[in-house]
Amino acid sequence: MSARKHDIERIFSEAIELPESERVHFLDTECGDNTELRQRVDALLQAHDKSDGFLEDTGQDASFGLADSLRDSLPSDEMPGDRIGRYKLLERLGEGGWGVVWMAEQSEPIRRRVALKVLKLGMDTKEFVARFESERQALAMMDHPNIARVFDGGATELGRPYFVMELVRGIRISDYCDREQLNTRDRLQLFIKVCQAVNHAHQKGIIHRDLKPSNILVTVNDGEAVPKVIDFGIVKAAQLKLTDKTLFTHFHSFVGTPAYTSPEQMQMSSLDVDTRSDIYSLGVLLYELLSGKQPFDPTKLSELGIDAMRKLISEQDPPRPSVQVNSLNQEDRTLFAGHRGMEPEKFPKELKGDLDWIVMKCLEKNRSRRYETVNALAMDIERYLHHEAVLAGHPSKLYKIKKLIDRNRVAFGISVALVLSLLIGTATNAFLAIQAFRAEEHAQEEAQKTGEISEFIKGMFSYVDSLVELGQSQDANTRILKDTLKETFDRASMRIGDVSPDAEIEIYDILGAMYFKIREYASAEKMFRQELTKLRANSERDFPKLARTMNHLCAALARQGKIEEAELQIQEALNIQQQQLNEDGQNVARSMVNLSVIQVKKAGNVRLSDKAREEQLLKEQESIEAALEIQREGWGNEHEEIAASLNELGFILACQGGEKMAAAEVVIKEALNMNKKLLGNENPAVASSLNLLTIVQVIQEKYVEALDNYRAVQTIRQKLEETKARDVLSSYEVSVWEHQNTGAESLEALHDIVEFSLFGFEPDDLEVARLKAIQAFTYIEEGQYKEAEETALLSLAIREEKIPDHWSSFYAKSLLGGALFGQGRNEEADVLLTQGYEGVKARREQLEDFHKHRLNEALYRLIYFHSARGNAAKMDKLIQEATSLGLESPR
Amino acid sequence: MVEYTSPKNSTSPKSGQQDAERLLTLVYDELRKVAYSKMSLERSDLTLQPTALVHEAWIRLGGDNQPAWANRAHFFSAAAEAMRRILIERARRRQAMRHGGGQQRVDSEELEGLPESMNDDKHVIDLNDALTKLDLEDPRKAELVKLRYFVGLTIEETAKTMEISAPTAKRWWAYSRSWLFEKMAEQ
Repeated sequence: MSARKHDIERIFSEAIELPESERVHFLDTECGDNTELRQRVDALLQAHDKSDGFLEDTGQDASFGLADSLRDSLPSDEMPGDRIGRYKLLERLGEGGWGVVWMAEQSEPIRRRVALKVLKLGMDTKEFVARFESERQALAMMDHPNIARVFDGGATELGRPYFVMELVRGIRISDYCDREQLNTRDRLQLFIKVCQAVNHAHQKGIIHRDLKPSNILVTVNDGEAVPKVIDFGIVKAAQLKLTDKTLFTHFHSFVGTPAYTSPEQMQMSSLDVDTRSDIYSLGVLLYELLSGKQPFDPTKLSELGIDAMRKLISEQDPPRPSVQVNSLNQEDRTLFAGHRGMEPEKFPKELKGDLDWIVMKCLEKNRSRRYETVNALAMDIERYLHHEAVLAGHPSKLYKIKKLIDRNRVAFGISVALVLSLLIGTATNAFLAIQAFRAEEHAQEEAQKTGEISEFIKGMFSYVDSLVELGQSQDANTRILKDTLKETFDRASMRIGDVSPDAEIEIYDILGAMYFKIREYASAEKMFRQELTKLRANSERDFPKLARTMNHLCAALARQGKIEEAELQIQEALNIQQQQLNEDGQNVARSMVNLSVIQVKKAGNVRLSDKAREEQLLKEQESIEAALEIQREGWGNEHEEIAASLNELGFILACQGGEKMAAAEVVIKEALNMNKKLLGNENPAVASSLNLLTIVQVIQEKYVEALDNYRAVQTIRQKLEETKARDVLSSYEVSVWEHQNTGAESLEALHDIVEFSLFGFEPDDLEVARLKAIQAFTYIEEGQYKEAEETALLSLAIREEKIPDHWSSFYAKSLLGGALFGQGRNEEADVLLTQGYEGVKARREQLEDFHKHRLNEALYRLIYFHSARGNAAKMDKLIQEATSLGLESPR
Repeated sequence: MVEYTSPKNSTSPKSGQQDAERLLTLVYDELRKVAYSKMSLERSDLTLQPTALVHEAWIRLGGDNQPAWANRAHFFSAAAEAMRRILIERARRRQAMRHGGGQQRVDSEELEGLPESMNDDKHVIDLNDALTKLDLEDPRKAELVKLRYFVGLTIEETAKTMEISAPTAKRWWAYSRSWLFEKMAEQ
């Protein structure tokens, strides 16, 4: 009996499924006395037991062997000295993806050196030559200094296609930029030349199809970098390499370097590659030139199969260049920044915004969203270089204004800062605001006389005009203004050395007033002190001016809480003024009021006996009344400064309490009405009077009136600068919630705005706490737990100090817990998350509608914590609680 | 030489045979081109995944729109055969070189790395011999091994390609592996 193949296989297959112990019995039964069958099966089973791993690494062994085999089987190359057509090969210059480049010599009709590229892929030579011939006409029409000319094409004796072009002995554009350590501007300028070349070709109807650094070589002519685009028209000629036309009607091969290839080129089915595919490739190039990296990691790309690669390029958005740079490791970042002659820290910032947008517009998956033409791309880069708004950019007002400022900053220098200060009406104390304004007004008058400054003023007015033309109202963004001020001032101070001492004094005066207005009191102090020093150095003392500057300095000091110093200044100012016979009474009055304000403030700081305090306040009251008399004499009954003085008088009366409270109310109402009449209803000075009035009325238990006034104050403050940043913020807050998953852009913008908004607040202001909490939230969302910890901690510290029992203190705790959880500090996180949630829950009645979600958030942060730690019991309990509270899961 | 399935639309065995050989050459060339372009792209740190390579060749040759192929399975068969040939040719050539035979010019560069891969070459040749025997006895199983080993298809893909069930493919694979292992141990 022989062993039948079928039986062997069946018995073997069944046996290997059985446990060892049952096998023998099974085989005995199945094979019976057929020994041959039994032997065959036994041998196979033995082989099976020993063959562990055999052939199982499918692909691995084969793949290595395959690579080598293929390499070995490649045809041998041409040698130097060989002739191809009428060209003699001289030197092998290099090897590209699909060809070897030779330096060759042409002897007729002219003797010249050329570059000759032999294509290596086994493409159909006849087809190539035919296509090349049809392209030749178009190629010949290209005449551009930045395009290497294509002279000739044909087939080698071995049947491989070749073409001949202008010999360019340059290096890759990316290598050139790095070697020369070109900065971003220079890189862009070089890139624009490339764009112009490509644009020229596009106008002649020629698409490159394979733009990449190795196809853009840079040579240096007379010290000028000249990029040359090579291989124009070659890809098309080489593309359809049919071995059998009838068979392969749809044959469309993949040519190109995946990293630079547009999604539509990756789609083999689409034949309609157009100029916008080149724009994509240029975008990749620009990306690389700017960031040092390609949008997609080429190593990772090459590890993917063609399908995965195509999917990736067609579907996945690469990180913006600035983000890419941000995620570089320290070593790379230092290296790449070095290639650009730049500090590593500045690297991401330089790319953020415009350049990100320009690059990403080129890289749009949908080509209809890319630039229409290469020229449009080049023009947008030009716009960037000229500080104009780029097409690719955000269409927001904010952005346009910023650009306008950038531009004018260059054009007008310091003047922009002046404008900015005019646009910001931020001073809260009416009296001090007027002071600052006066200083400015005065400075402008003076400046008009002074040649150096009149230019500033001119620029300033044209700037204001342009803003008006744009339809930008005054509230158009304190943020940007503040952003740019500092730099502008720095520039201004650098120029100061060049102007006359008088002009210098005026500049300090203006700068001081502006810093004051934007609440940069320390800087204002510095400016006024500089001004004083200069004034004192003048041989002819300008005493009125000296006294006025001291007044200003006093205000700046007072704002920083430096009461003692402020007092000294104002005392000295008064001394000077009182010694000057011709001093304007109004200036004296101003100093008197200032001094009184300071004294009252001081009295509040120092522990005084009731009696001493009473005496002090009475003295200041009388002083202000005297000042008011002077002011009324000079200005009649209605004047901004009179209103301001009345306000202060009201304040001092209120401080004395008792019977004087009613008098205080009358005086403050007078101030309020005067301010309303002179300044309109929505004015910081009006708000200030109203605020004071509210307090006085509350003390007198006139709650109904007080409440009305309180609301009025809030309304005004909401309309004024106080809430400008806040309004912008809340809209961003909303967008953060709405785009939690996709809103990288808005998160970034949010951080910007938060940073900006922090400006001008005392570090322990509750507003700072609020902003920090928002920041912490977004940091947690972004997984930046260290930063989240830092910001949450700040927020919590301020709130615990000032409003320990408010829900927001507990919310901050929850945030901090989230930040620590992210860092694996679970024990601390547990406590904070629990306390935070319980605290907010206990105070949920306090939550305004738009804050209701904070409770959900705190709860789900805690739930997530427990779920991540596998604490199912707690989790379930909390989820039940969520349901009973009617809370929905946040996205 | 292993026979491979001829296109379904061929009219006579003879023309089928010619077609098959012609298509095989085509695949062979295409694989080389793909591999070459990959090599140029990736330079030294080259790893070629046969599956990726074959898929790419498939696409380059027109994919599903390609009338020369009855279907993807048909193409894979050709590809597997082409891969086998590529490997075996090289292994034989290098063995010849090592034994001092052959007409080829041998330079030091070419000999570099030979000792490490000696076993590989022997393995490839032995496997091929065993595979040829299996092919005589059971061509379908030989085909399955080629698809699994040279193209790197998974059990499921192989089953789909050969139009058999996955359990069957798994059983065949276990059987063929043991069969080949035993044959190679005999040699």
